[in-house]
Amino acid sequence: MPLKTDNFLKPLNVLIQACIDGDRHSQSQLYELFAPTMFVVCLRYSANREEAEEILQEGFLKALGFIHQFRFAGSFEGWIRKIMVNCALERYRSRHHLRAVTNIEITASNQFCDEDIITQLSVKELLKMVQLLPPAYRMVFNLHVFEGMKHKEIAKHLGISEGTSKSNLYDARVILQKLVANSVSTVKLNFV
Amino acid sequence: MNENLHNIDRLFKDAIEGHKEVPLLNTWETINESLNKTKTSSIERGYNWLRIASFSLVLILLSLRIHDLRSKFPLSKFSMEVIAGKDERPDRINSEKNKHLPNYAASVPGELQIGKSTIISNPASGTKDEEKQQVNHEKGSVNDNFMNSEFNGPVTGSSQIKPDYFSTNDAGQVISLPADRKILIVNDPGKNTANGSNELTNKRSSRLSAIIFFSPDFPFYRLQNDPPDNQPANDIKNAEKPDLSTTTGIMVDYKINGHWSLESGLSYSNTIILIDPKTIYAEKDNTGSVKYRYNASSGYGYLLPSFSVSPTVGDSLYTFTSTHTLRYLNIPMAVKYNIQKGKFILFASAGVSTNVLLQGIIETLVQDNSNNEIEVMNHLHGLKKIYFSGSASIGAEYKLNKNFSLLISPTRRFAINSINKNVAVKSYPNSVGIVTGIRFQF
Repeated sequence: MPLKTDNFLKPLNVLIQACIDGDRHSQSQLYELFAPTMFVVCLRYSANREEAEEILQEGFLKALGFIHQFRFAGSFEGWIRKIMVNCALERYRSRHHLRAVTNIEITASNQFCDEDIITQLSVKELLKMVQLLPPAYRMVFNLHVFEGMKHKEIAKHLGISEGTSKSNLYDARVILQKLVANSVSTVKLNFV
Repeated sequence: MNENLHNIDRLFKDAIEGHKEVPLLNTWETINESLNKTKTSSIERGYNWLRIASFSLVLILLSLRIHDLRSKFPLSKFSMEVIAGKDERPDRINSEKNKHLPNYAASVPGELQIGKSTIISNPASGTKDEEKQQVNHEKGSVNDNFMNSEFNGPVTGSSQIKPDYFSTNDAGQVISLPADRKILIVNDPGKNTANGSNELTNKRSSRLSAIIFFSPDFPFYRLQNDPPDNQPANDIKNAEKPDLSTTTGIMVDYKINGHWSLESGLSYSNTIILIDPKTIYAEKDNTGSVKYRYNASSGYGYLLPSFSVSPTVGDSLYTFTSTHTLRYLNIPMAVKYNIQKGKFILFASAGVSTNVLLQGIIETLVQDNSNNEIEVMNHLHGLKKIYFSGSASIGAEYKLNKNFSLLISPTRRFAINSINKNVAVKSYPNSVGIVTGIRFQF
């Protein structure tokens, strides 16, 4: 069953085929269809919005350039998402490879994060917290939590050892927990 | 604490997954511009060879046109004399200076146009001045004789006609006279018309001819390490086996004189090389993207199978037997020496060729543990757009009739410079081909 969206009359398969044929209007439609979802993926892997937009551009250029390799077998969203992640990884490997991991100063105390309280935080705030992570931690956290990769795969992708991957993930979680706790306490204070 | 940490994972995932955020409007505009640039550059690359081919064809057509015009309006010594007011054509001579000489317009029913210059050589006297004087003195009889040798129409008049006295050489240029005189006709006039009904066609074969040819080639490569102490040349040489290739095209031959001629034209060559199965590895390309690199004798290409869109440096893939194809548009220039023996012409030629790359591709089947896919690398890094080669050949032609002849010619081609640059191995393609073709004489 071909996917249809409210805004686009063309079924996705037809749209992809038109993109393979080089139809610019269809490429634009495909961008509009997937850009909002993919932009969030890029935001997770980047330090700020500008960097995310650059990854999004690279990703879409690559996706449209290699779209003829899509076999119509699996999910197109999964395929394009994989390309975005790949672009983010390439960018990380080329720019952050030799960057030392720095500690983030967290002043708040280590508190338990209540789910109800977390829901009071906006997605934008949570995204900002992920962006605040050091690049190496951010990569490991994203690949493990969002892409569902094992440490062995993460180690292979980032060129690090499994132990480093586990350590980075742990540190990332601790930092995020502190950031959330810090943010929640601010929210509480605002309510009081 | 650990439980809390795992909750962090879930809470972030649940909150962010599925969230959408619209990027800035100019993001698509930037992508669109980049797509336009890519499209434009690929179109330009594709049409470059067409420009070169068009330019070459225009040159050839222009040469043909110039030749055609020269044939119609020859600019010889005689013509220059006409332009300078020294027209000494027999009819003028008859009407002005030498009224005593026979008037062919009167004696022959029709107008006679004789060649641009007629020189009598007298072996006894030798010098040209003397010869010219004799022309003037003997004009009447000479022209009579000339007419008899070249004109088959009805001739009336006082001159004695003895056709048996005259003969021509192979090129139809020397007419022997009785006694000790000869007529050398330089630049044949073309047509003689008698009374509008009897047309004399003094046909002369054109200097131009065209050859359509086909050549099965047996390519072999000279590979040279760059720098010389590297190993890859031997590895590549052992892994690559040139397959049967072909060259086909059209040549225009311009005859300079009885023996020498120049040849040029356009040809298309298609070289196929089979590459043994091998393992290839992922590495960063020039843009920083990680892709699988495939090395070949002419250059290298990158591939990214759909089942492995995000490889890491050092990942490997197995490739089955691959086909490496090189297509060139060749613009050869050669000088040729011909020896005619009856219906056979033996020749030897040597020349150079400018070879413009049309396409360099590698097709392969890649496989990892569970997937396989056919990959085509259309862009090979390191491959030059143009390289130069030399050629040497010997051959023979057999004249079927006045216009057509068949030819066969074993040809050796060799690269003057390498077909690639900035790569570990420099490649010099050589080949031996058996050129077979048909010549059309204009």
